[in-house]
Amino acid sequence: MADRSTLKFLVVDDFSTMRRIVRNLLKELGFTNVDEAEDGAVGLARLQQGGVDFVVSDWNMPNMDGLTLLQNVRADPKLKGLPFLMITAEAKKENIIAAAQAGASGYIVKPFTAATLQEKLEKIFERMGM
Amino acid sequence: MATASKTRVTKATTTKPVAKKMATKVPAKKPAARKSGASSARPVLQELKSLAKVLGKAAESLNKGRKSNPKEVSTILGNVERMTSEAATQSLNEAENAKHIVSRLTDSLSRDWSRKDIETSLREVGAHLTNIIVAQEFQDLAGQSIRKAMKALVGSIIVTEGGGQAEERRLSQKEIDSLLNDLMP
Repeated sequence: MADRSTLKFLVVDDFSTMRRIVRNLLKELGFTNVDEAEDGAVGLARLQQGGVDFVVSDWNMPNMDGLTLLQNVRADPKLKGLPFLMITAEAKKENIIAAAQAGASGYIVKPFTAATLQEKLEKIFERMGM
Repeated sequence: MATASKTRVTKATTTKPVAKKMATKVPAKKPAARKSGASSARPVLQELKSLAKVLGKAAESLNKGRKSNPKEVSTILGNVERMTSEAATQSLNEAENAKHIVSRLTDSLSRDWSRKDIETSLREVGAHLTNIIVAQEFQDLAGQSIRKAMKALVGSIIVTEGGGQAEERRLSQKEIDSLLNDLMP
């Protein structure tokens, strides 16, 4: 198993507060290598530069939403294998189905706790053999 | 907000066509009026015209309401967003500072430490915690602002019979997990 603490996370959210909260929670869980993007378009550009191992993204954002970002990631041969965790306030059945169909690795509904984040990360790591 | 704007649109779209319908129906009555005698048709025609005018004015006033209220609501909600953002930033700053002190304190325990230093650090942590508590007062202010926004919206909201289309229910994290288990390979 690779050293998870060196994994590079990209947190995509238009609210700086939420990015900060997620960054803090990740740090608490031992992940200190965290980059941020304020929307899907910036996030995708950042991902295309390479070096990111894990994406944590909101759904509702200007310019490019989280679902479109996920679809772009899955359509890109270089990025399609990236673990993609959705953290969003969107909690309708149609949202979950759309996210699953687009290839989300996990889905957390806001408001959430550190324990939920840890549990979902563990599950994704386990599934991806990380 | 979404429901409110939806209902406002419903109101505007249901009122305007009625006024238009009245106005367009008026000429259609004219041939009949010529056949049966202008004297009996004229009062009806006049009544329809004035009704169309009244409806037109009502539609206009509704549109005026649509323009002014959302602007007011938008300003109020903008303030709420600002308040919540400031409170969150302040709380996070305080928590990060407190955590830094705790970490420093933990490190010092394995080396040289004095009771005085620990007391000082604990006082500092206590002060940060108090500041976090104080930062939560935004909830009171935001609550008041939201009430104001709701009042501003009342003028332009029409409650549709039966409450309109029911919004789809939000799922809990447990329900989402179960749904994802079924959907994911």
